[in-house]
Amino acid sequence: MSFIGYANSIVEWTGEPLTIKMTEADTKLNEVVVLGYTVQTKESLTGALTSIKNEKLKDVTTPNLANMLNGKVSGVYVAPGSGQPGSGAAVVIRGQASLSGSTAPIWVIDGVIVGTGAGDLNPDDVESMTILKDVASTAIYGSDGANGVVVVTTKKGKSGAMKASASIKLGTSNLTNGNLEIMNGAELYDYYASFQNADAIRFTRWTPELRNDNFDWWKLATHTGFTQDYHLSISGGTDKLSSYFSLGYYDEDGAVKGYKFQKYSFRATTDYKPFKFLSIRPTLYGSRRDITDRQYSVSAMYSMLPWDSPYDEDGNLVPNRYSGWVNSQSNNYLNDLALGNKGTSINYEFNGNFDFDVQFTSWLKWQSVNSFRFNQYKTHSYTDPRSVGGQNVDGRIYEWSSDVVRKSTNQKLFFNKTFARKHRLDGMLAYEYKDYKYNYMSAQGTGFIPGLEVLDITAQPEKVAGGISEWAVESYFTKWNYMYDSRYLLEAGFRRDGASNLGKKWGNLWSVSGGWIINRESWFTAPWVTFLKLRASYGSVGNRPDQLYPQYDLYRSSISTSYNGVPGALISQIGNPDLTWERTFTTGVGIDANFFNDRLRLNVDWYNKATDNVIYAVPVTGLVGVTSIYRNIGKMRNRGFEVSIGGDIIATRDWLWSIDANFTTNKNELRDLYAQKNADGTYEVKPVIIGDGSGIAGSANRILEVGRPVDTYYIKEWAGVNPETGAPMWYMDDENGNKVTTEDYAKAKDYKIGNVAPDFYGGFSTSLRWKQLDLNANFGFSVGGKIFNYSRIEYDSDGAYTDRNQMKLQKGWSRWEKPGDIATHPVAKYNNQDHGNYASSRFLENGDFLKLRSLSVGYSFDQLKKYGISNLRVSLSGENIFTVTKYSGVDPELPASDGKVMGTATAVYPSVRRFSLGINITL
Amino acid sequence: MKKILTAIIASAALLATSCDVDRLPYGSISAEQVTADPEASLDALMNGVYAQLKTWSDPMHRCGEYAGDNMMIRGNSTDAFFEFISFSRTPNNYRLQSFWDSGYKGIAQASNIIAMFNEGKSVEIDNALGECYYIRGMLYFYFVRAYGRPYYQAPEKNLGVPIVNGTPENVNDIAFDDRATVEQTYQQIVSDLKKAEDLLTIDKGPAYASKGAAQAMLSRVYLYMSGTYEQPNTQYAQLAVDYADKVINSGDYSLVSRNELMVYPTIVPENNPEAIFVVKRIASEFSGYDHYYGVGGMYANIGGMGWGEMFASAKYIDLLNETGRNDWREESYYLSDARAAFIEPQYDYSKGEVIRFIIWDNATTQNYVQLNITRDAAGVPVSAKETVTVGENKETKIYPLTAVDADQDIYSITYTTDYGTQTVNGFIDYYINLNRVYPEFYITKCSREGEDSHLHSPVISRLAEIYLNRAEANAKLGKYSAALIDLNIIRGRAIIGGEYSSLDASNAAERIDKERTLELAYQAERSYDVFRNGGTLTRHYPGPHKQAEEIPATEYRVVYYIPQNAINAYPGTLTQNPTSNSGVILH
Repeated sequence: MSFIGYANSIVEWTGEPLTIKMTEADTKLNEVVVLGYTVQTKESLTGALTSIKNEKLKDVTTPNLANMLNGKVSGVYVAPGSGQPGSGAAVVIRGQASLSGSTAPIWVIDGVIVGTGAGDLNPDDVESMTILKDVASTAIYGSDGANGVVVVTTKKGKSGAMKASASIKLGTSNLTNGNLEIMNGAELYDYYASFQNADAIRFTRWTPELRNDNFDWWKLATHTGFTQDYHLSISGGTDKLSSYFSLGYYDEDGAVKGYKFQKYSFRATTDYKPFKFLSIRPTLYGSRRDITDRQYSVSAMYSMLPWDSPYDEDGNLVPNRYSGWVNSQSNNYLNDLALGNKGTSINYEFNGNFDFDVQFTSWLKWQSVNSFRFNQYKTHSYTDPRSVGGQNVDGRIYEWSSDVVRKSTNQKLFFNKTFARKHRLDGMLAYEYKDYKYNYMSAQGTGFIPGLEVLDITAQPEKVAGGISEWAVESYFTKWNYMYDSRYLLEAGFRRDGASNLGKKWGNLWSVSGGWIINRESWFTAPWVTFLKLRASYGSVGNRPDQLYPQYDLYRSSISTSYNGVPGALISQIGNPDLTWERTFTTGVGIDANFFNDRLRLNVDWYNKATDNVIYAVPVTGLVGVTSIYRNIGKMRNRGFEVSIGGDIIATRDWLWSIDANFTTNKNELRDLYAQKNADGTYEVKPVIIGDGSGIAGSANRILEVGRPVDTYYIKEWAGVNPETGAPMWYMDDENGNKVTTEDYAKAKDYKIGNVAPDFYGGFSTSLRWKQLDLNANFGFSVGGKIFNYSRIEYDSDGAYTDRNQMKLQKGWSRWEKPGDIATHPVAKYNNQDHGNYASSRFLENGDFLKLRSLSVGYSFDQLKKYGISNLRVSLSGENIFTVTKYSGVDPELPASDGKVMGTATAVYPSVRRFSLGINITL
Repeated sequence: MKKILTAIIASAALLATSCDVDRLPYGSISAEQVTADPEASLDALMNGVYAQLKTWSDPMHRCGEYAGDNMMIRGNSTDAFFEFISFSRTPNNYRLQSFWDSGYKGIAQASNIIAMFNEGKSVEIDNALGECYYIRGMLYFYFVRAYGRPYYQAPEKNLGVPIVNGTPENVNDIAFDDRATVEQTYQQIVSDLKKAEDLLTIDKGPAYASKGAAQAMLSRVYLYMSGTYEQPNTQYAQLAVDYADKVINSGDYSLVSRNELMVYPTIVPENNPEAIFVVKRIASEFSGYDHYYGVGGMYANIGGMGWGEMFASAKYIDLLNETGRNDWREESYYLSDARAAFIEPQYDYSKGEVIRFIIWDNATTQNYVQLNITRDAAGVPVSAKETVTVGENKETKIYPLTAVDADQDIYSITYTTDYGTQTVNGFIDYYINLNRVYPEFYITKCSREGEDSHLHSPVISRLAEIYLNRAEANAKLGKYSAALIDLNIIRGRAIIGGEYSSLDASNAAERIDKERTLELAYQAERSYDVFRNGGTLTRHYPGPHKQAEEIPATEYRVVYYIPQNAINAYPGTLTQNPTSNSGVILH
């Protein structure tokens, strides 16, 4: 029988008559797929899902598992982490289906829901990942399932000879700036000299000598980063007892100087079968992550004027707000670094599982999964008494400590029975409870003698803070699979969830799905079709709100509600006792097909996700004391099409050349939003203007309008440069509703222009093997997404910003200089006040790209058995080799910010190009 | 086997029932708990109302002060407050939204407290109710002067703000009336403040509402209602005098001395006899970089904190210098006007002595110039020099200086720009650091309370204002001699021997207005003071604003737009202010 992710179980499967038949027919389809709560053979699946094996993941150097999914799975959009070591990705499966709640899938590690990320799990300990995309596979996750599910199966011990493996990866990283180039001293001087009003430039150093002043702030802050990744594992065992044990160490020194990331991890799992009917599986996992942040300023790399050097003629650091600088308002950040300002953080993560199975009869099993997960995160920062942030308080020491405890238990009864040889029934009846408690505390003290770093030495407490938040969910669920004659598949699931953070606590979610394995029909006579399955599903999944207490009427009490040092209470929330979760009804159909003895593999899926009850903080008039109330108000639709295709073009004894590609489209549409009262008393759903998530005043806006994607930009439309005057122009509507140009930014009208999400995206990879030599390349692409390049407001400002360096004109750009010039860029002026650099579609750029994400070449030595080495593999790889794009910023693949996909490019950590050497030894 | 199975199912069922999925917040108090025992919650609720004023006071200051002529900014800014300075009004402005929402939140909670208690239960409860009435009336007043047109312009026709007092039972099903008229809004304000005056009997110091605070506010409210100098409303002018009398004659407050005035912002309100009501802030509310984001952080960089991007306007500095140069130089420090102490030029002594003057860059733009000077053997400044670029070469230009007032180090210089050759007066001074092209005349009136930071308790009322209220009201009543006494009390305190000898219809408006500007600068009063008397805002001084533009009180832009989000969320009609001059009702 099947255990979650338990390889041994395959042996037991084959004991079933039906399976024996399948084994003969096709070994690949007999693979089991771990779905979290259950395990199914690949052929019996009715849902849309994709599994990836460890070796397909490991072409990216990162300690963060989500980064590894990028471009590899259809329907899965990944905004990768930035180039900063340890930076995490954001994952969105089949489109954004929430306005204010999480859009991240939940992660399930060995049957335990661990939240919206994999935490610090070492990617080397991962056996496989399965991404559950449609309702047939996610409905069983109920109110956690709407954003999809990533099921992670870790490596386990197998009975047989002991196996020891070691892997070493050493890599270098360097920053790339994409198409973006900033000016050097001479270029900036020439640019200033070209200003129409150059005679108005009146700062003291504005003389021809200035042209020779050039300091490279980029060079100052960067170097070649270095990454080391070591992993050691031992596994093996007997029929009664098998274990897997691993140790990992990851160390990365960032390509921007002064940032170090380290991670240590271990994992121990054992499977003990004292009796034939009992199997006990304890697992213990732990990790520690250390970050030391003395990072050189990334923003200074771009913003500091090349005329201003941080050093004086004698090589000493110049002071902050140095009057000898052209921009005398800036601080010389090297001073603070020299004084020892820094931040450090430590994160501990521990997970203990005690799982067991009891096999009552051949058709009935009880499986118990019990998990305790503990996370502690501590940060420390030191602000020297002589530094900018510390001088008025004589220095500051800041400590933060938070912990998260997640408890989870599920009890499942599994049934499986085959009747009259052709009817097979699998069932599960389950109960689950999980809760979460977050606890944080912070303290900061001021006034101390430089050098020491604990709160004890501070003369005064400055601030303390702390808080607790909690949620709990209880669930009952059941799922049944029926298969007739290995041809017809029927599946139904039902789940009842109760959650602490809803007004209407309890609700039901369900799904039905079916499959038809066509090639098994007796009338089907196409020998070149190895496998052909048609799938269809319909059902509901939920998404719980991020808010933990939205149903209660509350008064807030905090330092901001206190007065004159005495506590106060201030009305803060009007609750919604009817609030329930967001619900997504998904219709999906798909085809899985293998041809020519599996040489060609194809999966096609179409889906329609209709989300209702979308939670939104609906504005209420501030006159009542609060400004919004959470309500289930919106409707949204995501429709898409996914294709994965793979083929082995050459497959001989010595040669294997295969290509895999995936392609995704998703179209999002807002279908309903809250109604607003008109002047005449009627109600109407009107568009709502929202920010772009950058949190920057003056950046682009977006609009929520029924019938449009929820990430639609709503900004002034750029009408180019007036050829006569060089003035910037925008569009507006005149009295007759005609679109005309204006040179007055205040008169320009906002239009709906483009949206963030790409029209289609995907990836393709090729792998070529000749004997022991292999070559792999992995490409990613995205077409049709728009990026609002906010940075250009400041760095392509036509002279409006004179306190920071500027970017060079790129290929195809031109600057207006004289009447008649047809130019992309308006006339440049010192202290330009034409507003040409204000947010408009001028800076809304195509984010299309094609990227060679990774390229690796490896050699496997398999003739070393006499030395006791069963396999030795050496590989060389490069990552982020090239990007083809017209985007003028650093990288059109914008890094995730705070776990969210971004559409606006603000100051970014540049992207990183890596080269690494990997060695894997298995004894 | 069956037994085991039963046991398992039974234990699973037990486990299921024992799990509880109710979770309550730790950081908030449930409304039931508050309303169940109102008396026990009263103190907390009262502090909550006062605390709301902290949030409110930030946009309140920016709306009131930035639209005036006491300050300038170092350059265009994408911050929402730039619209206050530039007068390019839009209804989508998050700071304006915050002003609206935070004020109404205060009104809502104050009203909810008023609804919870009956009067007459105890002196303490009555006093608390009085505090609520004061805060509500005061908030409505600060709203109506920002969103409603000046009272002298058809108050019965122009719109004030909506009067909604408290959180309704069911917020999902409400219908509110449109904005009350300006007149109705003032009636609500007067009624609230008078009620407060009656109920307030306990003086808890200037951090809390008091009878004096209510009377002080009433004197200002009536002053706003008292028409213009040309067409005064004598009834309201008299009431402004009456309420000013009550405050001044109460003996509860006294003006600080000239020396104390010069350090006024540093005195904590409790120790300041002049303070009537302030929104009290304390040091422990600020940590880290918080001081960057307050009002003071925009005006100066103190102790490493603050942007220091808004400076005293040349117009305000000229006003301070009217009775003699204020000399901030270390070795010759002498302030003719005590109020110049709130301006702190950021000298860079290493860059030597300069002459600083203002010239016309073009017909509409003035700018500062600082040129190093040379003194002759006798120490007399003789010339200024400037290095200019001509083609590839550097040239040094020498400008002779002519003494205008050698005692005060004022010299004239003839300087040429694209706009032509101009002869202007300038001060011999030390080089003041520039932010972009503007010398940093830091403003420290909103900083340094009790410590060297931007800590500051925003001033709502202080005694000096009450004297000026009375002076203006008396002038509007034609009682110039009474007005002169009050005016000279304030002027004479700041400027030694600066008292006027006379006051009459020809000069009263100008002199009282000037004194009010000097005295109440950076207290968020200036822009309203210009328009309520039918004045015109002129800002012919260096800065990125439209320097040539003049904004008369009849312009549509003298009031702010109602935030569009507030209109969108309003259950009923909420009429927007006119979006052009054609919509303005003056009569």
